[in-house]
This record gives sequence, C-alpha cells and structure tokens, in this order.
Amino acid sequence: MSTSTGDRNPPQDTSSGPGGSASSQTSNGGYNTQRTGQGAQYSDELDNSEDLVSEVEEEEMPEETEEEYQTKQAVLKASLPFVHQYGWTKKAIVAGAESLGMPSMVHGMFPRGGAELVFYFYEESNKELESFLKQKVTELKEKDEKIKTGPFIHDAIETRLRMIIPYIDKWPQAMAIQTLPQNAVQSWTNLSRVVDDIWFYAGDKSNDFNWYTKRGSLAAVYKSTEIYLIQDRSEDYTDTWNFLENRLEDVVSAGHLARNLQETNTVLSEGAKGFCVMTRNLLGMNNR
Amino acid sequence: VYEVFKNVAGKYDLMNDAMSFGIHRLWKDHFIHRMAPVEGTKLLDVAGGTGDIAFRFLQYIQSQNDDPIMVEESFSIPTNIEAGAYSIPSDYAEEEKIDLSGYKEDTSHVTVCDINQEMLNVGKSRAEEAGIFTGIDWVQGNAECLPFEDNSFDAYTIAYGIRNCTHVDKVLTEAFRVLKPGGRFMCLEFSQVNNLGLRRLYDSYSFEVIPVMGQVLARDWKSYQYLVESIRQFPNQKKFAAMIRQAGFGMVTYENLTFGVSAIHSGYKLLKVVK
Repeated sequence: MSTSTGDRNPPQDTSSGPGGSASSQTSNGGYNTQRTGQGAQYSDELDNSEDLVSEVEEEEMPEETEEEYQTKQAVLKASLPFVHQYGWTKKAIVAGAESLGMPSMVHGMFPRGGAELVFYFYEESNKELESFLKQKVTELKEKDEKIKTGPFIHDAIETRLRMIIPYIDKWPQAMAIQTLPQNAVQSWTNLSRVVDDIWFYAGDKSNDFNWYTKRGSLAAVYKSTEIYLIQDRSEDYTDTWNFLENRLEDVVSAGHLARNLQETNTVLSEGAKGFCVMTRNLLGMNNR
Repeated sequence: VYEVFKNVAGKYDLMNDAMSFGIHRLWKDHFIHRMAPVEGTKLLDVAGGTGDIAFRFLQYIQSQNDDPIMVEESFSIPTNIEAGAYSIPSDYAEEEKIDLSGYKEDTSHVTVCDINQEMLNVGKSRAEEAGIFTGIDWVQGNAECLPFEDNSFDAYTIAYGIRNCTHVDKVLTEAFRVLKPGGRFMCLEFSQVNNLGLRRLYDSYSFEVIPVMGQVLARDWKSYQYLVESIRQFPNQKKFAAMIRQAGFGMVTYENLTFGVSAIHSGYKLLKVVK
C-alpha cells in the first residue's frame, strides 16, 4: 500500500492512544482549562515553575494524565449499555459510573454531558473502522488484487453504519446532539476523519483540489445514508444499502460528467483553433 | 479565627449580602449547578456553618426529582403509525415514567461540619424555619482533623471557609481521606482578580468600604478588616490548584466567577480502574 502523496489529515488527538493530549476545548467558556501538548506531571513540575507560571497570562494546566484519561474512557465505556434506557444524557453516564462502583459525582468529569458519550462512541467506531480497513487492504494485498474503489467504499460505509445499528433506537438523539453549535466542530472533525480514512485506504493519491471534492462528496453520501438508515424499516436494512449504492453511482456519474465536460471543452477549443488556422490559410494570411 | 466567627455568626448572612451586593447567592447557586448532584449523593459541607450550601444542595436534588429530565424527548421517530383515525402513535399514548428503580434507595444526605457551634446553631434554626428535618446533620469538627471515617462521602464542599484555615494542606489531605474513590472535592473561595483594571477597583472597595460596612452593620471593624486581608493572602487560582493536586486529587480544574473575585476549584479522588 503506497503512501499517499496527498495530504493526510493529522489524526484527531482525542482518539490517539495513551498519552495523547486531549485537545478538546469546551466552547461554553465555563472551564478555564486548556489542555496543551506538554508532558503530564503532577505537582513536582509545578512547584519548580510556579513562579514562572504565575507570571504567564494564559492559563496553562498540565494535560490529562494517563490515569485520568483511562478513568474517563472506562466510565464512558460502561455507560454505553445504559444509552437504551436513558438516552445520550448525563443520566446514562451516572448509571455507567455507578455500575463501576463509582459515586454519581463522576459525571462532573464530563462537562458536555451526553455529548461526550456520543463522541466517545463515534471515536471508538472510527477506530474500529480503521482497523477493518487496514485488515481489508492487507488481505487484498496478500491475494495480490487491485482495490476496486467502488465496492471498497461501499463496504467501508456499510461497515461503519452497521456499527450504529445497535444504538439505532437512540441515534436520532445523538444526531441532534451533534448538530448543537457547541458540538458541531467536534462532530465535523469526526465525520471528516471517517471520510479521510476511507479514501486513504482506498488508495487515493490526489494532491490537488480533488482531495477536497472526494472527501466532500463522500461525506455527503455518508450523512445522507445515515439519515436514511434511521428511518429504514426493511429487513436487515437492505433498502439503506440500495440507497447507498445509488448515491455512490450518482457521485461517480457526476465525476464522469465533469470529465466529459472537460474533454468536450478541449475538443471544441481545439476544433475552433483548427478552424481559425484554416481560415487564415484560405485568406492567405499565414505567410509561408 | 474562632473568635472572629463567634462575633460574626449572628450577622453573618446580613454582612454577606451587604458586602457582595447579594451576588454571593448567585455564586453559591452556580456552585451547586456546577456540582449537579444526583439523588443519592452524600455530601460533606465543611465550614458551612449557616447551611447555605447544604440547603441549596437539597433544593437542587428536589427540583430534579420534581421535574425529571425527559428521556424520550421528541427525538424518536414514530415507529408504528397505524392507518386509522383513532390510532395514536405509542409514544404519545402512554405517560413515559422514568425508571428510577435502578437507583439507590437511600436518599441524598448532607453533613454540615463547622468548627464553630454558634454558626451551626444558626444553621439549625434556619433549617427548622424552612421545615427541613431529614437529610441534614450538623456536626461540630475541625476541618484539619475531621471526625469521619475514610472513604465515606461522595462529595466534599467548602465554601468560603478554606482561607480561614491555618493549615490548608491538612484540610486538603483530610478531604482526600474522607472522600470515596471517584468522589469530588469542590471549593468556592475568593480569589485573585486577574484583570488589572478591575483589580484596583476591587482593592479600593475591599479596603475602604467593607470594614466601614462592618462597623456600621455589625459594629465590628476588626473582623472585616481581617476578612479582607485573609482574601489577599490566600494563594491565587493556579497555586491553589497545585496545592489540591499535591493532596492527591486528579482532574483539578478551576473556574473564575465574576472576573476572579470568586473561583470554583474542583478535583476528583481518582481510583485505579480495571479496564
């Protein structure tokens, strides 16, 4: 799998492994914490640099430690089963924390409440998707087959959407939460992550404007299919996959159309040029 | 310190209102909102003599129960719409009751601890007037050496009390001790105003107006002079956060209220989680 010469979006920090700095910032301005990309240490570091820190105007807090991160992840993971009962809300987080034997106060670790659960689920699903894609690519490589873009993308989107199906009863609520202004940025980043991953593993090597159009069109397809999915009543959601197939075809034909237009343009302009040359010949304007 | 509060106890509430123009109520409300306690929480409120935080805590939980958060909001797409004039989608037909049976049977409880019996008495009488008889305990004790078992509270709050303690680090370690793993430490306290322009204004207000008010309303200049000075000598937001971290708390954050006149510090007693 050759490395793409196109730009790859840097991976979203919050889904990286241990020690990754959480670069999320609550946009309600309530908490004055800013998680920076420095190493995490407790008070030792602070004691020494205390005097320096107090001079600095911006608020700098040491980033989350590994322990804090793991605790949060564990609580969120334990809260997912309660989503069916309580929705993507603070109550689900409380139930999850209590199932781990922690007091309900733990929900304060998640100032955005239910949105944090949604993002956690989204990011976990993205990770799953990525490993699925990696595996598929290595399989195809072993069999020495070329990646057929169309079916590959279809499979990728289908896999990703199937991960939603266990929570489909409360997914509309999750989608609504994602459209709230304070969550919109994060959800947009998550979506672009999905789309970027799929194109990257499909072998996209574009390094021009195509990079954006490809991801943009795929994001539109993904979103529209997701919306279709939540109201689909067919057996095993076959209607959704048909819908997906049609949308992908649309994109492909749109691409063909664009190319056709370009080719037509070239042919026409060359024809016009040739006509002009002929005319000048006839009129004797071309000397020699 | 004991003397100061003995003198002040009776007029404490009045003075708070006068000095902060009633904003202290808003600060305390916000404090409890930040905590967002759920039914079944056991709170220890230290230095909370007259019970401001304790009452708000109970009220908050009460209001949550009266008006439960709608779970089945209008997000769910109607699943079975039958044709026919008389059929109603099942969502609207029944009253969805939130299933709280999974919650603990024991109700929320707050233990108010203060070094000063006078303040506690004022609090007790306020509780009686408000008609609250269960869910509050009034205990006399020293914040540096709490008369409670290890790991016995879900939440620990100290509102405007910690600056009066001689050994703040001892208070913090005691807080750490009595909290359950996963429990939350929250502190509401006067802090540093970072905005330079406002700081001058704040300083002149503090040193010139407040002791005068103290003299007029409570006939006690010295106590209020002491109050203002104790605010100044208390560590600023970052330093205090570092102290909290040193006591062993994790996820320590702070939030400024009114440009830093007050600040809420929060920390968690983390536990080793088995993944």
